[in-house]
Amino acid sequence: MAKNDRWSITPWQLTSIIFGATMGVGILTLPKEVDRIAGSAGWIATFFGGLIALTAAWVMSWLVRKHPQKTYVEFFPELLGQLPGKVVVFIMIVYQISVVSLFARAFGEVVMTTILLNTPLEVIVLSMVLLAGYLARQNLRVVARINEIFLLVVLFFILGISLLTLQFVSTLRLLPLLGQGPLAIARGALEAAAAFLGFEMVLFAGSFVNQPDWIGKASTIAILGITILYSLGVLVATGVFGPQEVEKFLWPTFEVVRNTEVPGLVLERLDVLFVSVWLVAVFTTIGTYYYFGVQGLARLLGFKEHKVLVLPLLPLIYRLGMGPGDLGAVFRALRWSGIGGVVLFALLPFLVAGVTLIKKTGDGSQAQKRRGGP
Amino acid sequence: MRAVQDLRRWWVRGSRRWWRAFLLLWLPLFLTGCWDRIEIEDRAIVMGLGIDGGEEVRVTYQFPLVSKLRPDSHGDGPSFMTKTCSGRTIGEAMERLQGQIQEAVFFGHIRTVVFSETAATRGIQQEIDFLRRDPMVRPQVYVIVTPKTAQEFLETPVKTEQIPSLGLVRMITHDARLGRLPKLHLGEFLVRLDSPAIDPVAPIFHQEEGTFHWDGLAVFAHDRMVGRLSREEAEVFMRLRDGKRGGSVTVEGANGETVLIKFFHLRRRVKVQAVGDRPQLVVKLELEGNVGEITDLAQKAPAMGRISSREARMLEAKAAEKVKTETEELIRKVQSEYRSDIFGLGEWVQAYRPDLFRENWNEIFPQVGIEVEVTVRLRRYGMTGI
Repeated sequence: MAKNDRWSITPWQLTSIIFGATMGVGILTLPKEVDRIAGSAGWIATFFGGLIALTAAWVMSWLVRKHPQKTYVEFFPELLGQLPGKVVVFIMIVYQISVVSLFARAFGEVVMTTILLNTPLEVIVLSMVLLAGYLARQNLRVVARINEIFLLVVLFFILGISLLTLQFVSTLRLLPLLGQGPLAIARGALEAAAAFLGFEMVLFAGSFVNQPDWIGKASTIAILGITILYSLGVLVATGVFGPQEVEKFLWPTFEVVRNTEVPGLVLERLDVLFVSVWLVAVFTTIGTYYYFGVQGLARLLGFKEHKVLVLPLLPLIYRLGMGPGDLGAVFRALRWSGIGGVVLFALLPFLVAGVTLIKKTGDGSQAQKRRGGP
Repeated sequence: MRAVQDLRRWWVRGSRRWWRAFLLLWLPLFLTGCWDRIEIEDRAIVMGLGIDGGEEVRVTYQFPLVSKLRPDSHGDGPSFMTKTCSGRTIGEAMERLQGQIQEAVFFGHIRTVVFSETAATRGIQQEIDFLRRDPMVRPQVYVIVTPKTAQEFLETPVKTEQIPSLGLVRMITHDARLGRLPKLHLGEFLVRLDSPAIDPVAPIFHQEEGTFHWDGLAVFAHDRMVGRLSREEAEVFMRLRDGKRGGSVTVEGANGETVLIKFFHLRRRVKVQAVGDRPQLVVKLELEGNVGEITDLAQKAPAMGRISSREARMLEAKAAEKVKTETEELIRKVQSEYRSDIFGLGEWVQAYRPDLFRENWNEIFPQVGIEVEVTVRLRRYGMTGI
């Protein structure tokens, strides 16, 4: 396969896409969501939430490899029957588009309450949607490269900031180790799984990886990395504030950063640095979702180019994002989109995989031939 | 790095190179800054915030006079100013204050929030709520209580610092590093305020002859100041809660001389046991110290006796006994008089025996049995070796 093919990405780029799509709005509220259920064991629940995402990602990567040269838009209808399959695909596309608008809105809310106090919400949301739309008009390779570059930037800063915040952790507040008990951890893990949404990029982008053998490994690396980062984030937030206080904050992770003092006073306000890095993380999330949503829609409708769909969808996305009246409504919408995402991408793949096994449409010999290939 | 190669290829091979160069040159124009920017001269940067209670809330701002802060203008007059106004709530008082100030008030650099003792005794929930909601107020702000009014505290200049609030912050951070004061900024204060397992404390300062004097710690029960710990008691408190060093203790030597033992290492362990469905606590303090000073107060001369190992053991026992008595007395006082768990012993119960912890910890805590065990190790006797 030619390296310059716009329709092929490397396994490492798949890792970056999954990472870029996942790291975003979720990290800011995650400690609150899991600590509410699992108490001081929130970070353990988060870890198991990551494992749920990982299992689902494995099933999806298996599905993708079973159907070479096809994307989910093509093989879902083949497996589930034309109409139901297309309906499922359409729901998935609607999900992606709504994620774009919701995250843009949540991003606007964070920026407005933290740094740009006087800037109208509309300006922030619209500029983010426009920027994401600009990325969504590009081809797959560009999206992959953007994620590849920003992955390193985001990783570097997030790791650095995490290390700085570690010094304020009180181990006393992380005990009892099991929090409200194993059952609460299990429920917390389900709750946390929503924060790992973005792992479904295995399904959307996995089909384009030029070395199919690596799809599973690439997604494992991405999801394990995010799991560790997220668990660390929850651990720090809980350790600094204690589980009860974490629940009271709007954006607990951001609050941790605000509490952190940088030794040497070079940067007195770490929160500004954090928001600027986080902004990049949100952009990769929104842009990637926008691209894959539009691309999926184009394939479903039989368009040759996905570009033409970007602009017509933009007003819809913006309008949808401005829909929720207040912050409470935004949180409710985020929660429902999280639940929808978990059902769509953590449960449905198992069903589809089951159908694949029964129908045996995926040809095993083909997969073996590929393994011997390039 | 394929991405870098790609960027190079884009530049080298790309068509319309001049158009791209033009674009690159114009791009920075859009990166110039924010539209709601206010120049520093047009901002009133509040560094100290004072809150006095009473019938009405009285709010005092302390800001630097930027023009006086230049190194060459050591001229007359203080380099800061204050403004005060009252209102029914802190928000109302601030609204009125803005009316007296030409510049836009900026809260991003507040370093200290000073409560008068009367305001603190009345309860500070409302003011704290205000500070928590304002995104500009940073959690690194220090909460301080002053015996007189906060207005007076902020109006008085200090000798050592151009802006008094900054001097105070320097003093607190320095003392916190030495382990004399708890490092308790607004963020941690809020955690302790909200948690049922621990209650907050705040340092008490007053001003005298142009310097700050530390008077001990204000004890809060939830958001109300209910009492104070003297400086000596604060040292004992630090051993139990936040301290890393353990302060010092004076004991009587074998021949009646006074021996000062300075601790430099402190290990603290808390065991939680159950008596029925009530928790019982054993607090173990392991201290390691040095002999700092031996003085025979009766003869007004240093006693030059060599300390034998046997004497050292005796000093250890005496020091341990003294620390134990001090600690027990403080715990008893806090339990019976203030009824507030400033030591955060509830956090240990919550962590190790969550089944014994109740949300109304404040009511349980005064009755909880707390045992104190102290061991002291003296290993060195200072530079003299005797």
